[in-house]
Amino acid sequence: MIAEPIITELRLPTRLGFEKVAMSTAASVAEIMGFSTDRVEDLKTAVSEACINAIEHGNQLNELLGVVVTLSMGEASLEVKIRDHGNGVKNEMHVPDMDRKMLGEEDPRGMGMFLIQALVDEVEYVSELAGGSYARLVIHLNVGSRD
Amino acid sequence: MSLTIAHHRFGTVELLKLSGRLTLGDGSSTLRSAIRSAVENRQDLLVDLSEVSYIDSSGLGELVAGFASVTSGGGQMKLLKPNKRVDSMLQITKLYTTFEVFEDESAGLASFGAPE
Repeated sequence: MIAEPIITELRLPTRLGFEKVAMSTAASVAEIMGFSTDRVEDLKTAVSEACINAIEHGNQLNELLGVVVTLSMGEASLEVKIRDHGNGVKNEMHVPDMDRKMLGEEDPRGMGMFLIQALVDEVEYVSELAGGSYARLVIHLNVGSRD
Repeated sequence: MSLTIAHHRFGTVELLKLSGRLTLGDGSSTLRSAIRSAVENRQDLLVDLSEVSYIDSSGLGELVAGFASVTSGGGQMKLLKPNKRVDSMLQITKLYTTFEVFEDESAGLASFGAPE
């Protein structure tokens, strides 16, 4: 039985491509916990999208800053926090309008947060008073995969 | 593995067989160039996704941008054989209902009225 969460922490450089390091680490922890292959794939995509947001939007590609990824392995859930130096985002979800995107009337990108929301069990975006912000993603064991 | 694209031409239809990761940096710019070329040549596009090992929101965005670009030029762009993971991403984003998606190459090509 796990009494306290087991913590794994990564410090990523603010450089696109390093989100893959967070993806593979999150996958390894989720596999240790016994998540199904589909759930692990969901988590990998969500973590990647959150890290890319942190690198591009949070830290605005400033390589002097870092992105800290903290994985907390609990008894029945895995929490991943992705922390950057930005001001954070509003918790209100922008639901992409696919028809407008397909017509070229809306930016074809901008689906990352929507994907994250769909792929994990809990998500929140927190701006810290001391500066910086983080995305908090949680997946629970025994929650069925989307399929 | 970064994205590679094999081009096959069937009349007015260009079949793009994608292989590898369709993500920000890895593949989205490669696909953008291929689509731009097809638009310039006034080709319709059938994009085979069966060998795409991973797709993220940027890759999905590139498919959407490609669709907008091709259709604004008077052409058509359709998708072929997304694997389970890509199919799942298309379902979540509801792109499955906006793209025409085929499981069979011959049927996909025939849908443009092109010779097989």
